[in-house]
Amino acid sequence: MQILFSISWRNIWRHPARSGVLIAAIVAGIWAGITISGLTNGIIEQRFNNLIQDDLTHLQVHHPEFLAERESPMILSQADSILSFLESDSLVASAAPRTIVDGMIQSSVTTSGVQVRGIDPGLERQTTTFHENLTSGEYLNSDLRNPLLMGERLAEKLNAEIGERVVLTFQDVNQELVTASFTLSGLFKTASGPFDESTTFARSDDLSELLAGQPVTHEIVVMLQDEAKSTEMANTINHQFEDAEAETWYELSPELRYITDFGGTMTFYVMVVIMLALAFGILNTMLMAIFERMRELGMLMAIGMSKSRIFFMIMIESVILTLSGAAAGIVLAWISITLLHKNGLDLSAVGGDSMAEFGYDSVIYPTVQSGDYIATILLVILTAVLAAVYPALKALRLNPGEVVRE
Amino acid sequence: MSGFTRIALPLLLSIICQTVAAQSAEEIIERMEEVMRGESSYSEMTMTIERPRYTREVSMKTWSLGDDYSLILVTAPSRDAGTTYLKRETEIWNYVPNIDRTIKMPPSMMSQSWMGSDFTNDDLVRESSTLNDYEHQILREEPIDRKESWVLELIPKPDAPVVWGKVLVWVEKENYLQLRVENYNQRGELASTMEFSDITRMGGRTIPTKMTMIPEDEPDHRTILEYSDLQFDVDLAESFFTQQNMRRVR
Amino acid sequence: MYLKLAWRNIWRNKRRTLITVSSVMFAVIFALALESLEKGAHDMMIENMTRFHTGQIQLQDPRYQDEPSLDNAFEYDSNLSRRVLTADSRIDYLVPRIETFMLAAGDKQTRGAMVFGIDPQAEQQLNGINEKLAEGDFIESNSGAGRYAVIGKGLAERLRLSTGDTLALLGQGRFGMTASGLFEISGLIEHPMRDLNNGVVYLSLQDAQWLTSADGRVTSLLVMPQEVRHTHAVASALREELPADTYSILTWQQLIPDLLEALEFDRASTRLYMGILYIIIGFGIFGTILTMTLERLREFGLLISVGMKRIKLALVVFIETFLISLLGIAAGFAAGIPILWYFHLHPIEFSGDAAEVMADFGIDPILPASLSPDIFLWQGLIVFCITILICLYPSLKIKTLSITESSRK
Repeated sequence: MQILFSISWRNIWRHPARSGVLIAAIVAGIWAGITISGLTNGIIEQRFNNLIQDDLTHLQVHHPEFLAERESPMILSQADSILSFLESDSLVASAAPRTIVDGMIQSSVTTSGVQVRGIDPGLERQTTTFHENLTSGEYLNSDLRNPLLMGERLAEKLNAEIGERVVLTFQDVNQELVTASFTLSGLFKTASGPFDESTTFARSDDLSELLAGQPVTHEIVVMLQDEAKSTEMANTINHQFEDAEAETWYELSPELRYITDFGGTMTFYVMVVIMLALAFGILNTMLMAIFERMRELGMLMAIGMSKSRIFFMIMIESVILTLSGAAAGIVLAWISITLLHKNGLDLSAVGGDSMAEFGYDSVIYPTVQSGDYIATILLVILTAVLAAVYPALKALRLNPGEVVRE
Repeated sequence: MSGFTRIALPLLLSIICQTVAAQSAEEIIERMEEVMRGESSYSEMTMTIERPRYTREVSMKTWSLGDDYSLILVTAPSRDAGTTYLKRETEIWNYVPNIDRTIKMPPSMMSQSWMGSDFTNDDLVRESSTLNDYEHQILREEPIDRKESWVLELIPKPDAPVVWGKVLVWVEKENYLQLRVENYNQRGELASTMEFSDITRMGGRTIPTKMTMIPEDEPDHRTILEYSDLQFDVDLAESFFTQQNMRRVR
Repeated sequence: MYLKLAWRNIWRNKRRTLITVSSVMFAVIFALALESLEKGAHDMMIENMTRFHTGQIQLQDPRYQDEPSLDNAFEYDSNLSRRVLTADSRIDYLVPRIETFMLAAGDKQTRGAMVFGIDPQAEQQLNGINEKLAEGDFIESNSGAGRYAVIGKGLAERLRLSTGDTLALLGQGRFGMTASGLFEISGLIEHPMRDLNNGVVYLSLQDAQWLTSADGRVTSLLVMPQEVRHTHAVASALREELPADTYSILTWQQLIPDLLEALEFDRASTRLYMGILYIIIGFGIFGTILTMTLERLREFGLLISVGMKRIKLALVVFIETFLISLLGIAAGFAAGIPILWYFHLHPIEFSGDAAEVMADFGIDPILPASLSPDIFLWQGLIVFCITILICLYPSLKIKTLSITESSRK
């Protein structure tokens, strides 16, 4: 065995070019496999974030009737205690209260139905990425009186410019109509035209004052540390608080769930295809290398080396090559993933730039779980060893003279 | 004064109601308001809605009591005859005979056009007469339709729920009649104009009986209101303005 | 002459050739599979989303986009439908709709609702609406004497109505006419999207036209091509056939840009994956060719030392590799087509959560492979280019090969 090992070792170094190619194939395989896993994780995560973080969040809490009826008296009576409960829970990344009322907006040109969302500018900014959709003007922490944000499309329809006054009318918590003037402080643009045309943002303090003369919360949006805990968290809230209903993002938007699930499944199959391609690439290179050695193997047989010894020699060589390649590949993959994770990979380089127009984040931050490392390494090593076994077995069945002649 | 009366009675008056600080201008506006004021009123009128592709005429009778109560009965076209609108404080109810239902207008419908006109349902209920909504002054004096008039400039106060940047009102000197209102947006561009014409004696007063509303950005859009009858201080009680009466009134 | 030489060379070492051919073949198969999968998914996503919203192409009055009111409904008769259907042979069917906002009232309650006047058969073909019926019967196109409505289950609860009860609709018809009518609720529909479930009313097209004084008119005509990928060709054919000042032809990209946003991200990540795949298959082919070259250096050296011109040798070797690439690509197509065909006929099935959500929407939880011809064209071409680039390596190596170095091997 000792001898076999040293023969194998010497064999490897006698053909530096061939060994180099084989090691390179393994290194590349491991590196590509791990990087792709990381990218895939990053892509799925970013895709989800783009759809969730802007507006919907992981879960929302409302008065049980609110989403169906959207009446301003349907407030979250325990909003404060829900918020402080969420604040102290370690599963929660951040939470923000919203005051929501459907009403109408009036400008000098026309009148239009709108949803007014009163937000806490600080908390909302921590919780959602909506502020990134702002295209001009100022966010709600402006000095203007009753600042209001609206979609570019709505502003166009109303012929309103930043700094101008618009009039909002809605029902207060006593079902009385309230009318108040707001100052247009900024414009935003999202991917959704109907959203841009029908949604406005105000400070929740301003809106509450008009609705009830005291803070009013209709909705609490919550981002968790880990999306997978959404259902658990929703259940906890539903148990703990009366007259409040927490729903996860996929209950709130089954359509979005369809998009994300579909995308996730797709990405999985794409990875399967790429991994298969990777395995076949290694397989072919290994096959080629070993078949080219047939002559040499025949020679060894001719000088009296036993078939089993030759088989083991080939296997030992393959294992040495594969392991050293794998080690190098892992190091390389770890370095590139760490770098990519820190700096992000901008998809706009491959034509994702039109996404930016929608305020869509095209930068991916790859992350790799240990499972991804293990799966990739197993796949590559298995492929490499398989690729070695087949021709080695084949070599054994040939008679030496024939092989040498070939 | 409520917005409902503004349509049912005089859109004519909408601007007038804004009260004024400076002595002379205040006087003018108060006198102008007096002309159309009455504790209760009854009128018959026709609303003509002009659109690029069609013109529609709606005839109606209206009753009003104070600022809070009014009732409108549509008499023509025949398809809509018998339809009534009831305003009680900030609520609007709508009775439709061919489905025999009385429906309370939900907030989601408030921004919709009222009967296809340039007015919204909300215009029917809006309380726009905040005393402090405008700063104002007499801008100049000039004749309009060969009648000597004051031109008043009204500038909304910063907090006022008013969409205009400024409003110009022409008030005729002899009878304190409002003849023309121009609404400007906050960039000083004309947004809409209301013209008051066909001054006649009606209900014992001399008043303009035709109002034309011309939005600036929709070139071929017009809404015209014309009174054929108008009576002030008629005998009406609050009990007239009920859902039961919406079905009965003729 | 070179060709013949190269051809004979190829078959001199069959095993080597087969391995190289197979590396190209697998490259082609994987490139085809990935692209077909992506395209299939892309089309499927568009198809499913458009089915629930807007259809893939819509015919509208040009004014409707800015002012979606019944005033901008257009006349739709058998003449127009024939004209549209014959404009392009790839049009599958048409779905006429009237869409407007109205008040829906029960005995006491009133709520705003989207009212759709539909052709039940066409709508069924579009999105299988019948299957979402939770209770009662669906409306029929010619309901005869009675007027029937199918409403969202959530709306029915909010209005405290159930099947057999009377629903009152009130709103504004075309040109400011009052629209009001009573309808018997024939069925309730359970829609996965909350807003629709809580506020949708379906009437037959005829009843909706009567209700809104829009006789013979629709607000939009959905045009469904046989395949998603025909959308643009069909839209251009329609634009040519119909006067632009009377009809505007909108595609789903214009109708639901939100979807485009989600897809755009997928497309960018697909491009990234394709790029990675090309690198990987390129590496696979390169590994094979490189090993082959290394093993053949001795042979090359020998040939040069017996007086064969390097340029000639390089040419022969290049032709060899060129032929091998062609063979590989042909083999890739030969093996790829049945594979894709199989996955087209037996699509990958979704499982778990994804399948559940899709079932709620009435979508088949499957992912069929696309058989669009341009996949073959493009992927074949790309792999061929990659292979040719790689095949330059042995020829270049021959030019710089030192005889002593090679004979030592």
